[in-house]
Amino acid sequence: MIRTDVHRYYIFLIVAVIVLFFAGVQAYWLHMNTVSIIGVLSVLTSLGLTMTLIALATNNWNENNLPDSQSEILIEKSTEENETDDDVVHVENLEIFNLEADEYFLKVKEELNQVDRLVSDAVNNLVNNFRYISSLTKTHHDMVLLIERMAAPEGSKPILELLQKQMEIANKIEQELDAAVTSLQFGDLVTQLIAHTTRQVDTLNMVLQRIDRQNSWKYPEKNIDQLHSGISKAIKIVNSKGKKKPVVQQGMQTGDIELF
Amino acid sequence: MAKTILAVDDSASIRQMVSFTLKGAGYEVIEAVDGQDAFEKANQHNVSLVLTDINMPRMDGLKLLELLRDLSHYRNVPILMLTTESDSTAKDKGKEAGATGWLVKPFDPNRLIEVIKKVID
Repeated sequence: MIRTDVHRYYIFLIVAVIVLFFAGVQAYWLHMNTVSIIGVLSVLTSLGLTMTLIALATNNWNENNLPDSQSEILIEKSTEENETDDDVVHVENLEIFNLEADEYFLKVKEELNQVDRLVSDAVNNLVNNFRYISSLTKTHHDMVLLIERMAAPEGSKPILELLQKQMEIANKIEQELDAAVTSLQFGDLVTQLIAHTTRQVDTLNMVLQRIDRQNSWKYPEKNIDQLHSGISKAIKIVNSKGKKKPVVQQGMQTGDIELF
Repeated sequence: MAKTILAVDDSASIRQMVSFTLKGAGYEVIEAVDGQDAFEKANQHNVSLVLTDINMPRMDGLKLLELLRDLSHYRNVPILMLTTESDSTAKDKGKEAGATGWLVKPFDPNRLIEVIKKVID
């Protein structure tokens, strides 16, 4: 399609040169013979036609010298501009695009929700497991203490040593459970990050839909710029409207503490 | 008699972890799911310390802090912020609103107990 339009540019120019040549011949003929109104009008018409052809050629050239992606859009649109039916099709395409964009953003949100549900489910299970292990450890600890008290009067060294080892294991488990308290907080960090990302996706979708609704396809040369500036504006709005990222942690190391 | 701590967080897992840690250290714990819930519970119970998150629905932690500091009986009660936010602007806001301290998540249970003992006793 681009090649066809380049050919059209040269055809316009060649015809313009031919018409200009005839205008020159007519003017020369008028100069050499009797000047008549019809003759003058004929020369003026030829000059007018020449200028129109040059204007058409220039317009065609400008369209074809835009960057490739823009040219393709404009060429498609310039064809559509001439036909009302095509305009209707184009508007329908825009609506399809909107629908597709909506579906796309909805899909992204669904996936984020899925991640959130999976993480929440996993965290709930882990917390339940944690609590159960913790209560078992406490019971085990109490039992060891009780056995120690019962065994103490007899003073059986092997039993006391065994109980001492049991106590060491119980203490070690408690330490590990404390570490698990820190690690299990990852669910909260992930949930906050997902909520933040979901808000950003929502805002971007909303702003892009607004730009799309403005339907700036009618006057291509002007509106490609508008489209670009609209998208830049959308990103700026998303950045400004979006809340600050709530989680900066890159790992599960414990955070700082500051008392005022 | 065990002292009562009001633990405020919209995350159920964080509430459970905080509750587990504090109960293990011998404190009574009242849980609240957001600032509004916490404000209502703070008015119903005799609370010795408030441990609150910041980013929560309905009412955030900073608003809760301001409202509690406006109440005469909460003017001197320690209020600790337990949050994922660590930037100085947020900390300054908390400090200005009357927070006692700022703890960044994830918390270490032993350090949390140390800090609470320091400000509550």
